[in-house]
Amino acid sequence: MKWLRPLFRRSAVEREMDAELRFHFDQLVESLMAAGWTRPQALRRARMEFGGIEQVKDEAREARMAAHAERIARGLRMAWRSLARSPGFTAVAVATLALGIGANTLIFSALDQAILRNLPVRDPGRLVVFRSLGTNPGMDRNSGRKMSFSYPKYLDFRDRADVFEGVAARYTTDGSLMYNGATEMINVELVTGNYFDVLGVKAAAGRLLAPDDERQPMHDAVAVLSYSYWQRRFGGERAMVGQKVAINGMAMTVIGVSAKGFHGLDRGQSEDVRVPMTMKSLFTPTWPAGRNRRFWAWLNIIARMKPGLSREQAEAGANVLYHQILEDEAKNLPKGAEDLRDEFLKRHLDLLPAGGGISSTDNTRPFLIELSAMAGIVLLIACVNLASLLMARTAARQREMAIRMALGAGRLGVVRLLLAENLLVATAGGAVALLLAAMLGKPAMALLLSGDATAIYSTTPDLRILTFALCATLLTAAGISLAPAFEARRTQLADILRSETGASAGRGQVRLRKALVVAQVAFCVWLLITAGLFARTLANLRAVDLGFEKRNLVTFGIDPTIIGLKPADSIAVCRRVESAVAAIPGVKSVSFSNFGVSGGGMNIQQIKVPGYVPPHPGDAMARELSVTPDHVRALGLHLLAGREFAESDLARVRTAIVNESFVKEFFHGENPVGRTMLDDGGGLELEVIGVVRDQIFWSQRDEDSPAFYIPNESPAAVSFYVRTSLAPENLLATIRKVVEREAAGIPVMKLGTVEEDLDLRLSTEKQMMRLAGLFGLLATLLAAIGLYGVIAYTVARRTREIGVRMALGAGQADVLRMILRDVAIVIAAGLLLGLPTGFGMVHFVRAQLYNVKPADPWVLSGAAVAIGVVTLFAGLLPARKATRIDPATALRWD
Amino acid sequence: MPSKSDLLQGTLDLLILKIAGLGPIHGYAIAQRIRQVSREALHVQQGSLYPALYRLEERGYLQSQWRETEQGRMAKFYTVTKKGARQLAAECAEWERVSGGIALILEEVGQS
Repeated sequence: MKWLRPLFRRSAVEREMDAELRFHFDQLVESLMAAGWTRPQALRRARMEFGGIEQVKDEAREARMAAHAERIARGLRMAWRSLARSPGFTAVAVATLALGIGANTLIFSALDQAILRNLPVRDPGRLVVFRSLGTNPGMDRNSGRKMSFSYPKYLDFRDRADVFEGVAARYTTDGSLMYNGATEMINVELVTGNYFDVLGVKAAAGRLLAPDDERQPMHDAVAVLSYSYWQRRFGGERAMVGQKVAINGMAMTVIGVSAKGFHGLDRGQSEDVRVPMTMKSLFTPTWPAGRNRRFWAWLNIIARMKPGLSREQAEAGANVLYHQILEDEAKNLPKGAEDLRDEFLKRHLDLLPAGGGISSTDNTRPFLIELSAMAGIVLLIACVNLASLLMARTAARQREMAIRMALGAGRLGVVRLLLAENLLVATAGGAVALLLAAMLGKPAMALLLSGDATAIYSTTPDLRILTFALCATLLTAAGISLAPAFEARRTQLADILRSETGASAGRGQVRLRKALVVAQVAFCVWLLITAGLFARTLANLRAVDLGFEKRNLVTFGIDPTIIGLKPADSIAVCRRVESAVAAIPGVKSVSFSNFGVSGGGMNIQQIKVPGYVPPHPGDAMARELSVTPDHVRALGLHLLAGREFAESDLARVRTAIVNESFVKEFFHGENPVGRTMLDDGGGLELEVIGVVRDQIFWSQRDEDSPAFYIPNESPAAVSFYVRTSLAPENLLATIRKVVEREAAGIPVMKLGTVEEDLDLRLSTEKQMMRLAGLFGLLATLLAAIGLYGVIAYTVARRTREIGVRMALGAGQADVLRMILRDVAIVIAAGLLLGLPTGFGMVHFVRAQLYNVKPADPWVLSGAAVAIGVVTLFAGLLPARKATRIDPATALRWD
Repeated sequence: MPSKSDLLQGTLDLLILKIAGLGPIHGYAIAQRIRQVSREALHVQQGSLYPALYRLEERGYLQSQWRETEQGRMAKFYTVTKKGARQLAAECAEWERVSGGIALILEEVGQS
């Protein structure tokens, strides 16, 4: 590349120029001396004639640069003119790029923040979180993740482990914060005093918690606000530091604000306020003690490994200590758990990387991955489309290129023109994509993610990702579009010029472009199958038997203990609310329970049933729900046998209603009414008085699981169920007023109809369906454009042939059939390729489907028909144009 | 650039291509040759000659090579490329057309 030389070898070029001018000067002097001048005279004369040597060099340099700039400007001008000549192509190419790149930039930016990016803490690679699988006798507040440990265990690790620089612990819960008379629900994180030190998080204002704060007595309480909560609630007011706020009814001093960008350890969740672990009883009124219980597992433990240690080394070191701890604990196992001793000692401690946060149970993560996969497919289709477009354009311009070459443009010149065109298209596409991502970022994110997550993720388009998407698209497109230019060298220019259509080399390309459309159709099949499967899943989930009557049902939650009430007072408040709400006209019955269908905890208890022998000792577990007597009627449970609870059952807990699964599992399907069971955890002997159909607990996808209901007034965090005879929406305002009157100062949570709440629970599936549908539509549209392009091109190429056929007597129908046969083959091949590979792709989302097989015939045929119709229509347009060819004109066509 | 050199540029390019078309030649010799052949009518300044040479080289009409002169010194010799030859032919034809046209006008007007 000779023209690159001045850029990289400036000094060599300069030296050469010097030498050349010096030579000229010397020659001049010599010739003057030959003419009889003395040397000094000749020198002076030559210098005069030469003018400033530097000036000459400047001008020479300028000439060289001007030639470059001129060439680049000319190239761009030419490219611009040539693009402006085909505005249709330019618009489609730019739009394709903008859509593909815009969608990808947005989604990968979110994915990056949700999954790939580390927490904004010091040296995140050294953070680990503890996990230990296996049996744990005693209570586990966080059973799903196996990441909970007791406080005494935490102290052991903190004080005795030598592989860590620091060990911290945390527990997340709800709370209330009152300031200036307004109370608000907040997310609270109980943390150990060294929490911020271990994580390496700095203060944005004031100071953060220190180990000393953990030793403060209850009456001198302190709290740290998170940056986003500080901004949201207090407008970033610096004077808040040092102020007192009431958290769960207790006055606490705000000592500082944590660093901006640090939301918390759980991905996609943001803690509002952090308070020292010593405040535990304030936030866990139902189990106020427990800090010193060895077998109450409730804390997540986070540790920072010493520098230079690998995770394996740290894990090996930590396990030595862990087994010493277990050996000690095994000496004092709780009653009834002695038989679990061996299992207990086999437990192993895993150190999981926590630099990216603790992977949370929420489903944003797999959702985002699927989303990126779909966006990736759309990008792929956009690439293919652009390549196909450019190829058609290059092919159609073969004659133009041949002429340019014949006129001496040179292969490089032609390539340069194509590159300049691509550059212009890419710049425009990238600019529009950036604009789209910036403008639609917020609303698009809101559409894609559920409410909470939106607030956390920044929607500023990530430039790295934009650049990547742009480059990927461009390289594909450029590679394919430039190929014909190189090929043009090999074809005889004369042949192209002589051939009348100027597209003699088009056959291979048509085949390649058809193959690309086949691939596009296949990609569309994937997306539409996904959309279809989610639509079916959604319909199936909506039709699921909930086990209770969801219509005319209102639910809400209150927790009187968060303003500091004792359990007995709390129960009194709840009973008052219950009877006040029941008195509202249009309300049929009311109950409250420790379990909420719209979220909340539930106890899983060990039970004993006479006549039932568990496969492993201690393996008889069932869900225990505390409910008030009217619950069966209020929730609308289907009573299958026996009776409901009566008010008299409340006096002492000695009755229970069980569900069908319970009967199947523990009573071998026999009628259990009148038989007894033992609630081991609660130490209660219960008589079964009724059987109800299984209800769903967490979600519509619940597996049936044994559960029993006991008549018991739960003291904290209760959910109310209100059965109405009127449309429930109209009663919401009245209910809120009544509750606020009866439970003054206690925030009402999640008030709404159950039907709406259940539907909200399906938002992930709904989003998936909507998105897959949207992407599918986009993809189908792109594929249709691709097919249209190919067929239109074929028709143009065969205009003369079609003219001849028609002149020889072929009818319009024959021509139409001929073209549509081409179209049909492409579509059929695409479907044939897409359907089987689609099953493979669907495999990844199988866990999210419900009662649908990946090979659901309705979904498959639906997707096939949708794509078939759209693409067939796209092919029909040019085919119809072909039938209108006038033979007389076509034969003269050039 | 001033308009004077614009006016001369095309002509100077033509002269350089013509002279270099006869065989490899260095910048100094080109200037000398133009002077001799035009019988001292045309003087080419270094300030015009070298920019023109570089421009022509950049456009691919000339190529260069360092070589020894008869006196045994190293100098940069220019030769005309194929592209340059085509350009020369085209420009010569254009020149002849234009100058022929001008000559005709001068003759016709002089006779009437």
